[in-house]
Amino acid sequence: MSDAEEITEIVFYGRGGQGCVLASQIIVEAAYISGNYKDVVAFPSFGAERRGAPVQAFARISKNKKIWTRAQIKRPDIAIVLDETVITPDIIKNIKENGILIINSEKTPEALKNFYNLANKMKIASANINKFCIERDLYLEDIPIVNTPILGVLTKALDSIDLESMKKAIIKVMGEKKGESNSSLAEEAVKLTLLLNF
Amino acid sequence: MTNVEEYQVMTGNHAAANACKGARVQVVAAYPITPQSPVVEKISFFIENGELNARMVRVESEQSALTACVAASATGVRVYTATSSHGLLLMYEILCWAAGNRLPIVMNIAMRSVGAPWSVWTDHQDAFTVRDTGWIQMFCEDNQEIYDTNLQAYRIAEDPSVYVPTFVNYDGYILSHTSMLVKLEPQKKIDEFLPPLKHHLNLGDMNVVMGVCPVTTPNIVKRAEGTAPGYYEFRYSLQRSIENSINKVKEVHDLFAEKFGRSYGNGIYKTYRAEDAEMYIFAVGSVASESRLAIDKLREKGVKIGLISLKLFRPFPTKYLRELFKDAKLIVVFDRDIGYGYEGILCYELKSALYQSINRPFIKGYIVGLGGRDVNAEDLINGVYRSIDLEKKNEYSEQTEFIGLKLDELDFLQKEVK
Repeated sequence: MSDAEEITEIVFYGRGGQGCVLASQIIVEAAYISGNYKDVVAFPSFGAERRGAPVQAFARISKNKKIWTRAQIKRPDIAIVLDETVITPDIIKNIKENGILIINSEKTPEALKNFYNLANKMKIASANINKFCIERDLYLEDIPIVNTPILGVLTKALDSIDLESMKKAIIKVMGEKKGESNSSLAEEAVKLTLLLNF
Repeated sequence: MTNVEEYQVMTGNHAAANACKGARVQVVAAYPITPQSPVVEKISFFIENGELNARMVRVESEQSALTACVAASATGVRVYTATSSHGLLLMYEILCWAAGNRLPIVMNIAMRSVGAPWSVWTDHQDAFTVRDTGWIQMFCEDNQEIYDTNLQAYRIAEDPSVYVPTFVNYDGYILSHTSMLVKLEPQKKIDEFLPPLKHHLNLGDMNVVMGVCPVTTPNIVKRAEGTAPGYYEFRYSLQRSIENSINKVKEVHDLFAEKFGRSYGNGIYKTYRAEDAEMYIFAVGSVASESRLAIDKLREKGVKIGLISLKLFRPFPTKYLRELFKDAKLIVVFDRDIGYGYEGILCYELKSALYQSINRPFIKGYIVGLGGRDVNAEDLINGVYRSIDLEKKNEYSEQTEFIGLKLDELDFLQKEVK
């Protein structure tokens, strides 16, 4: 489909309370701020959500065309996993060819590739954000703050959204005070990122 | 490339709330219901923050919410409310009072299905259900359109030639909770477009109290102090004003387009790839926007099809649609609603409008996406191909067809359905 090729579709996988929805809003702000995208859309999974339950959030970013589709995203170009325990092999296999997997995991991208038996051409960026949070004592109501660091990880795998745009977007969405500290978390997380192209 | 600073990323609900702020609404009364709640939360925030000088009336139900709006509007102030689904149905009685009293209230419907069974997800059943209450009714396809249409709605409703309350509808979740780029306009510019309300009913002015809702007899009553119309004349006047408002809707849309540089077709309907079309998709809201993808794909296959996305549903633009479809061969209507026991509401409204046409097109209706079932381009394309086939055979199906059903996954239903 011509439209789908021009629009990058992103799905966040995490648990209620981890900030998937906020991350989806930040990512579309960043895409827009970068100047590389003309239209952006972010939406939560519709309906009731509970803390701790598996949740998803969605984003579409488009370089040229206005985004008219309102359908659910079936096969993402980019999957961003905030909590490895919510994903199944099917979710990973569902990522489009030449897609990107961004994952909060202690495994290296090579190990993930073997673990999920991935044959398609894709890019994997992994970072152990849980450990990163534990080391720095970064918790919000007992849940590690993984949503903003993982956005830093994304900037390493996706050229069209740079770290500076992501940091600006974090500040814009979260406000000066929280935004400043969270944007530096995103920056630090870039350094932890392991990247594999295959 | 657009100027980054100009646009903000916000949900449909927040776009609606920002329009209220821009319109300087003075009284807001609403009761929270999914998926409308964030509109009123945001307005409360604006009021608390000092950004909007308005009174928020807290009420115990939707019926009270609209009653408060009716009372406030009758004193000559600009009022706003929003609701969804069962909240709207609980308002039904007062919707009629608002229209009969000719109060220029603007209401957003964050459209949601109606129970039972319980569902918080989108379809257009709630909005279509209240079409005969005497309100003007408009539909939106994106969040910018919600903001822009709300601003236009006040100017239309408050025009002395109109004085009719107005609904601005948008899909629950699909727009209400989805973040998109929205350009908010500077207050000064909005004020120029939308001057303060000059109200014909001012209960605050004790010298010219006209009275609201007196008992009105079947016949005209002649008294020493003047002649009072009968109920029948009042209702005739409401109908004429709504019918005539179509010109005002168009005029206000054009003025808006001139001032703010954004337009929505002709303010009555929007077209997509319709210039040389031989057949059309006819739809509103989320179904219309999804249809744009279906049309791109069908065009790639050489199907000469275009979209008519209806923006103005009441008054129903019969004259415009007859002209628009005068050479159409086939119209495929996708309804995210249903008139139970008959067919999709939009479909039979269109059929009725085109009955008097000299060249009557083949019209095929489908039900899609009730209760938030995903509506995707592939399903719509299948519907179009099936309609092309039926048109060739000139075959009308007697039973309403649903697209995107998954009956085959329900073993226990299969026998019965066959």
